[in-house]
Amino acid sequence: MTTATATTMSPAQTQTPMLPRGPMLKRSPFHERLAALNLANAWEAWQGYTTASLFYDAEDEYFAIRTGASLYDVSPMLKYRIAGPEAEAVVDRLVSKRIDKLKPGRVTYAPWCDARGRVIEEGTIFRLSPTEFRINCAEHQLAWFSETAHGFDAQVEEVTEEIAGLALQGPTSKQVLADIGLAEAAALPFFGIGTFKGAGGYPVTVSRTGFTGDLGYELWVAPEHALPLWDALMARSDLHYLRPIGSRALDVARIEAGHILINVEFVGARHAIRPSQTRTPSGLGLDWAVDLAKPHFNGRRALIAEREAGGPKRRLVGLDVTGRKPATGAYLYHRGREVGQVTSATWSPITKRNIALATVEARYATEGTVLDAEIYYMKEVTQGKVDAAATIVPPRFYQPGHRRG
Amino acid sequence: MKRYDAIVIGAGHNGLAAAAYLARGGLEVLVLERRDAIGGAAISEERHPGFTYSSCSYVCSLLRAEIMRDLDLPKHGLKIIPYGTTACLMRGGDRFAMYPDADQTRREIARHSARDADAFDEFMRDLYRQCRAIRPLLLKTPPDPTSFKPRDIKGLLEIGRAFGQLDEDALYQAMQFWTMSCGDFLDRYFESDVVKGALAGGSIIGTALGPYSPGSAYVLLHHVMGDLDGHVGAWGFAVGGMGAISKALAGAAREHGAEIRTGAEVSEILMQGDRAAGVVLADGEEVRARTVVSNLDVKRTFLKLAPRKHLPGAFVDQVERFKIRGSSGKLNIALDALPDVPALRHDPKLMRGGLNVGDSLEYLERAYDDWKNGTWSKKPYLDIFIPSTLDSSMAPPGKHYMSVFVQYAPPTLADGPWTAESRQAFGDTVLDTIESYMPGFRKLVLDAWVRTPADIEAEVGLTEGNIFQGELTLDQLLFNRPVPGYAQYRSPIRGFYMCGSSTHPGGGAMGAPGANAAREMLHDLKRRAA
Amino acid sequence: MTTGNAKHYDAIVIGGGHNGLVAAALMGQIGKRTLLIEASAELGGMAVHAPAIGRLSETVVRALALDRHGLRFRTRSLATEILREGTSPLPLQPDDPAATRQAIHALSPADAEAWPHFQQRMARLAAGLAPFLERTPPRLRLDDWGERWELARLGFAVRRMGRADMRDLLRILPLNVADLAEEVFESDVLRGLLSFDAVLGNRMGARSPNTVFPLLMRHAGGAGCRPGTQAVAEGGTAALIDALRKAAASHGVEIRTDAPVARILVEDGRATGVELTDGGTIRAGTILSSAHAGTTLIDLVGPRHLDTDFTRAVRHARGAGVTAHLILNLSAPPAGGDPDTLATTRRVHAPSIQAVERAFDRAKYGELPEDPPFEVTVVNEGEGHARAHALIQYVPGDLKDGDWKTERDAFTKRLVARIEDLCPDLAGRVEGAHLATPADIAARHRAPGGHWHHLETGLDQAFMLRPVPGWAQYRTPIEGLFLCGASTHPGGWISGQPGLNGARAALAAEKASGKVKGEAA
Repeated sequence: MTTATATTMSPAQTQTPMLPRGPMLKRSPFHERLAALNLANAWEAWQGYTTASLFYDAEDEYFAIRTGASLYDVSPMLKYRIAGPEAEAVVDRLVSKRIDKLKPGRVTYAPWCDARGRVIEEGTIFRLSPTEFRINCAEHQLAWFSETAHGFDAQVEEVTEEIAGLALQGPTSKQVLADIGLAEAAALPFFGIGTFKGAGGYPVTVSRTGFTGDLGYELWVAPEHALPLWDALMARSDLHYLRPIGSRALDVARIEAGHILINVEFVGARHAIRPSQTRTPSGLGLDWAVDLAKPHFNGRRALIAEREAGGPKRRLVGLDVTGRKPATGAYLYHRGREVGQVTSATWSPITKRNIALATVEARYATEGTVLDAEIYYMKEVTQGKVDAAATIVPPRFYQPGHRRG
Repeated sequence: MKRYDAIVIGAGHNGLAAAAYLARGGLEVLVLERRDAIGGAAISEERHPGFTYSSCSYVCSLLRAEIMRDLDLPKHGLKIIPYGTTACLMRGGDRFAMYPDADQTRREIARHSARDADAFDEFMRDLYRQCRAIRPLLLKTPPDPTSFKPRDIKGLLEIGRAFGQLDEDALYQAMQFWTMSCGDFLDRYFESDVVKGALAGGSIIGTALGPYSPGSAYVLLHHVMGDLDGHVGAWGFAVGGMGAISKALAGAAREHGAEIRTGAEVSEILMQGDRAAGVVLADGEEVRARTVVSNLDVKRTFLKLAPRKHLPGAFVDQVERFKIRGSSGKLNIALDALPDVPALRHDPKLMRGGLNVGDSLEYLERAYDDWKNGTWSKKPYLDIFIPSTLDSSMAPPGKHYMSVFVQYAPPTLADGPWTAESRQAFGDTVLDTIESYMPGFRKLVLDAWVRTPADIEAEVGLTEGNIFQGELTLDQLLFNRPVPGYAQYRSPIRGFYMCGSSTHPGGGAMGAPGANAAREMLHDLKRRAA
Repeated sequence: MTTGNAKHYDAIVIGGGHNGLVAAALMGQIGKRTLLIEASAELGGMAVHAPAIGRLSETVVRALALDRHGLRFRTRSLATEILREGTSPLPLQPDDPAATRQAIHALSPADAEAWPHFQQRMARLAAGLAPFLERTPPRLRLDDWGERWELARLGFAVRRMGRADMRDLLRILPLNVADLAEEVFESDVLRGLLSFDAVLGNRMGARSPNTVFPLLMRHAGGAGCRPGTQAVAEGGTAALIDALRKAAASHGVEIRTDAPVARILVEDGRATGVELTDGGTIRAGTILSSAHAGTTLIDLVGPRHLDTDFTRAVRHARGAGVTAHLILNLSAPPAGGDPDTLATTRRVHAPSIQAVERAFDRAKYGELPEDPPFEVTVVNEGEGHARAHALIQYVPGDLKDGDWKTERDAFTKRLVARIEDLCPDLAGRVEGAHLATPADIAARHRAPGGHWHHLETGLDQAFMLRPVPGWAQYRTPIEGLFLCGASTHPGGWISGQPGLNGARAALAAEKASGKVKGEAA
């Protein structure tokens, strides 16, 4: 850089304390508003961004998702743009669903695997035009996507910082959208996507997607429109019981919805140090998102071989657990033999049940099987242990009718 | 006349570790050190008033946690603190820094290549996998693959098991790791020159290989397989300098009853029939012992110390062929003030970590070319560390001690041995290189102690000044180290052992060779007693 | 189902180099209707760049009964003349140990002593490697008993060498040739020769670790070799190719030249045929490609049929060649040159380890070396015609500064002058010179990088790791598509072993799938 200025500096410069200089985490385009509302001052890191764990009361935030509407800042979510004449071929090579059948203006959800059929990650795929896709996911994938696109006429770029995102989720979210001049967007079909101009006059891309299992949308705008969008939405907050939520409330909703989370239910194949921590789509209950009849995609051969060999050794299941203690991290036993472990657990306030997601040996993964869960919990300062019965159920604990309506 | 159970020749960290383990095993142990101070290459010295120099080795990571616990080294004053950052200074004024925080590191890599920021995680994952497989082998005696003894078969199976935890893909990667060049390995993951250059530093430190020499990928692994407080690859600094490690090991040895004599140079091995029976000191004094173990490198041990007539000719040939190549120099510098590093002004915390010069694979490879041509690198790779930024006892208030490790410098120059003039010129090359990244640096220098490989050999006794007591190439690792058939710390002479870094698993202030040798000696003595 | 060609084949072999010919001949011999297609007008592939040497594997010669198809070896083994500045060359004649000893003695009595011992040692250790070179490498699936057994078998084969040799092998295999040469010899020219032999064809320097491994491969012998020597086919590589062609033809193999493949047809994950650049398609149940692994898989199959991890591994396989082929047309054969002696004598210019290493140090940055090491063989083609073939080591395919368009003439002139300088018997006879750089070789043989062995034969790309880890068994992720070229184990050097092993793998797969592919259509 500047040798000239350097030589004019005296050793006095060395008086600068050798302390770290920040910031360690980046701030989302919504941060200013979120910070003002975050009375709990409860933050956490999400892919290098500051993100809210909760604002005031996680339970209140949770009920906003289920009975009103909620706003969750998804700007830190990683976004990749894949565009070019052969973009479709690239995405088709990448994921386990047929992309040639995905029409512009539609969204799909799919996992992507390595050559051994192990899930690298999963995410939503927006087909914005015949030649442009956007993939949203939780982990960095630029190297993998670029490598997959090598030899194709398509470009891959990360666009995370170019797009601010808000998840608007909950039964009243349709009215919220209509209120800010996005009635057309509110009418999108489930997994539809489009770009609209609301009352603010700036373009808002709306996808009818979400992570809560409830009626909901995700709104995407340029960073400079983030605050106006936020203000427009929150101006009507009381009309529709609209609340900002943090990750704690969201996590309860996502377990109820049975959505898997990377680094919780499984470790991505590109990051797992121990191969045993990875899962195939079948092992994660994602068979419905895998089309083995489609032409080649990454991992197809391995997945066919897995199917021919009788399926995965372990499967993801839902658990209905007796009692009220969340079975977090609990080991699962069948006649005294350990056969699995809980990956996510929560008390479900809407269904008033004690629910969990778990990985168990495939032969115990059938619905109705009852396993013994060994649950540890804090009894003030000592650890308590309860044994509870855990019944295998489909991992969809809450599926409101209005979700797709 | 007193007869010891074991004499340890050389009070380097491995000799001291061996002594401590032997004494802890109930033996009467005597350590003999030629110099007036213990420590060998792990030594702290006051060479300039008020400044403590870690004269040779300067940071640690590889010292095995098992040894620290077995010998209770923290009780003997050892404090190892991690330093979290390293920054590679770039020509042109930029930098590439790595932080303990993954997000910060990612953002820093992304400044140079967004793709590499993602590839980095996969790279580290692959490295850790290999470390996990290798680490259990460090404190094991290498099995002899040509032997059918149950012990060796068991050892081979143990190696098999260590690698058996890897899946098929990782096993192939292990094979590649042991055979390929660091440059080729990095090229698979990264596109940015500086990211590759910064990561490759570990593959050339102390080694007569370039980053594109096959086999250098393993050297990289050797430098990251250490761990500190459970963090794989973390490097630490010993409060009080590297001598603190030797001091603590000596403390542990003494606590268990070992005697340590300095200024006691061993001139030959005393034989009784075909057994080692003690040593003769330079002043003629004879000291008797049931076993003798040498901490010196294998060439010094067998070509200068051990009686040639008791050694098989083939063994001597192999020792002569063992490659101990000097390739590194060291500057210890007393500074009037902390230098200004324009590239790091944005984050002064980086001054408390490692600072590297060498911003691309080509930079490092060209530095190696100079070494091959018999001269020091005209644009050297530097591993700079300023211990006084972490430990105020290392320098007077406001002043600083800077340790500069230099790669490459040959043991002798193409046109003859090192001279005062060539040493001066070598030092100037290094100081000028630093000056180009730290303007005004030379004006701050109060003392610069320049050490060529020849100086390190003369003072410390390491052949050619090689910091690992022997190259870490595949032909000299595991059961090949130091000599095929003699990788189990025993020498051809009964009762005479080796415990230096010339033996498995090699150098890097690990202490593992010392601990392993002691275990073998105790095993033999127990058998003899039985 | 066939278009453009009514005939249906059981197998198509892509590439008419020696490996393709071996594979096709073997397929034909088993009774498969086989078509061999070659992109260029001539058979021989990259073997044309090794006009006199080549170590066809004994197994291949026997399997295809090549002697019955005219393959003859010269009685004189390959001899070496070390070229020396300002003095006569130093002759090394494996058939005449006494003369060799005497020649070296004049240089160094110690080396004269050491030479025969070293040759025997190399031959012994190479024999220890032999089981690895001929067999299909196992996979490292430790949960598979079959693979475990194969690994144990190989381990046992090494242990059978005896303790001393096994230790020696384990130590020197990863060694750099310079260290080995310095351990064994004291004279610069012998050290230089050893270095040259180890690095020729590869992108390694004398001081690069793992260079003893290719040296051992050179000593691995082959058909027609007496222990410790190398045999030369009568008529050179051209005759060898011709014998292979005749063997293939005798088994009904159809051969089409001038037929470049545009792509390999893949349907539902299996290879079904090939499409030629002229648009015609030919169908077959089994496709064997002796072309470069990258060309076959990335260019002809295409990434859309393959997993990302796999194409990444293929892309990263190292194959940047640094060996050029210089052909000199001579106005007349050198005076006094007996054709047999000429054809079985290679002249080597590699005066020292430093000379080799210095040239390497230039090439690794994409620069042209001042005085590259080389070997020259002169072939008397009869009727007053003669040619010299020079293999020039350390010529980068991609130049850092400038390009081959501007550098070619000057560099060629420089090489010719140097050769004339060191070989006075050729001086004044050179009428024309043609230089094939690695870039030319790459373009001509569709081998990206223009590497002689397709891929570097370093330890990190050998055996189980060749061409890419996990795929060393000649099969590919595409069912019915097999590799049988130098990209596969054991690599180059005109052994024919990849062709043989590749064809065997294809036949075994066919057997395993329980049906004869040709009948399915």
